[in-house]
Amino acid sequence: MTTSFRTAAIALALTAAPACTGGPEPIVEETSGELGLGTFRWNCLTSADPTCGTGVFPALVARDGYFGLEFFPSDDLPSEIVFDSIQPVSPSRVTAATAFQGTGEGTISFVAWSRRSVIDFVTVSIVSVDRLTLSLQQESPPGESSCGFLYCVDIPGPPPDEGGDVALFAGGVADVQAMPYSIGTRLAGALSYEWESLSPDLLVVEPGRDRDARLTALSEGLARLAIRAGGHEEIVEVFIADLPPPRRTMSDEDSTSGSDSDSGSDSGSGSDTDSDTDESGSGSGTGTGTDSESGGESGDETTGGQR
Amino acid sequence: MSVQRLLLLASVVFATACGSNYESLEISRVSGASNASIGSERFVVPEGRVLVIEVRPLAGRQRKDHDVTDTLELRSVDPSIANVRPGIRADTWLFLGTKSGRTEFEVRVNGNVEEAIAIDVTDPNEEG
Repeated sequence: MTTSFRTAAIALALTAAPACTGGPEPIVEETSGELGLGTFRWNCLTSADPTCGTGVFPALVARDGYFGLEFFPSDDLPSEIVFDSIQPVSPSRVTAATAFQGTGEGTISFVAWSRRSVIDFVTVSIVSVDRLTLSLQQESPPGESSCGFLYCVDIPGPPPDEGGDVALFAGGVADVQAMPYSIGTRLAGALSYEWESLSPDLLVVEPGRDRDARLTALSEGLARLAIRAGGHEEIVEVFIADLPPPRRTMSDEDSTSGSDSDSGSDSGSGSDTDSDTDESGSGSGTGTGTDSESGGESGDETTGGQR
Repeated sequence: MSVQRLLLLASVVFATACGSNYESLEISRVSGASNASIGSERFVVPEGRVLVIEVRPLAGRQRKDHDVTDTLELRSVDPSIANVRPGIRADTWLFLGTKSGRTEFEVRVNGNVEEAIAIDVTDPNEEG
């Protein structure tokens, strides 16, 4: 999608949309109870829970992940049936304080109680994290394919191939976001994330909010980054390339066209295109630089957006 | 999901001891964990899971009228292992596997214990 198309689309939307008094309906993650007597809604406690905005009630929850649940009884129920609370069937596997936390692996049901009777129940599976991936942090709404004015990235991206790496330019900065998986399935629940650069002379990592962190590439080399969450540690290799020398004969336009070739390839992060010659901005400029074809090179694998 | 039906013949105890019209119970599995089961000797529910059954009292052949004032209740002997609670729908009961172990649940008619059936709450981590 090109910039011009987006502009046209926005213009069309503005002219065609009626005067709305309310915003769009928020995306919720709901599912019917197994008895069909109500609806369970997933509650993301923080943005550390990647479920929010997906519109899908999760089936797999990360062990140690925090989450909330709501229940809405069916309108068909007699008025004397009053919803009281939601409780896990087995307190040994799920703690329930201010929020639920899966402390033991297994398939667990949550029961919606009225005063003395069970109204309905829902079942989820609590599993351990076996993979943590990185993706370039996006500003577009979660759950959508994003083809912004700088770059095109699919959200959510698939887990990277084994051995996939992040790629940065020396001096570059990248805002990244971690994602927990188990057997290739993204996990719900808010986890605590720890970040550590195992190559502090090459790479600096600053933990951000929830699943976010900022990487700063110091100098060329192969750095290693440790990410820890849900009892799992992922070691990610960060390839830091040296900045290409500036082209002396280029005009300003030409200097960006070096990145144009990248943006033309549509895959480099747009910040690459600009920051390419500067500082590789988001740091994902690996796809650019000397090789336009390198747009498919490294960042691609790990993050889908790291170009 | 296969439907398991179980006919509990509570025999003489039901018909004579308390004067109720119940002679037997028909128990049908409604929903819940696929590896939960009902049997004449025992029920099985995985820890953390739910088994939903429908219990229908059957009047004896000698009694034509079903006395609607008779009350039927299922009650767990040890709710810390298995909890038994009524559902919203009539004749529906839910078994909740709270903690792995074995206990019993009582079938009570008009407050009197007419039958006790074992219930095993299994640890899924130990299942094959």
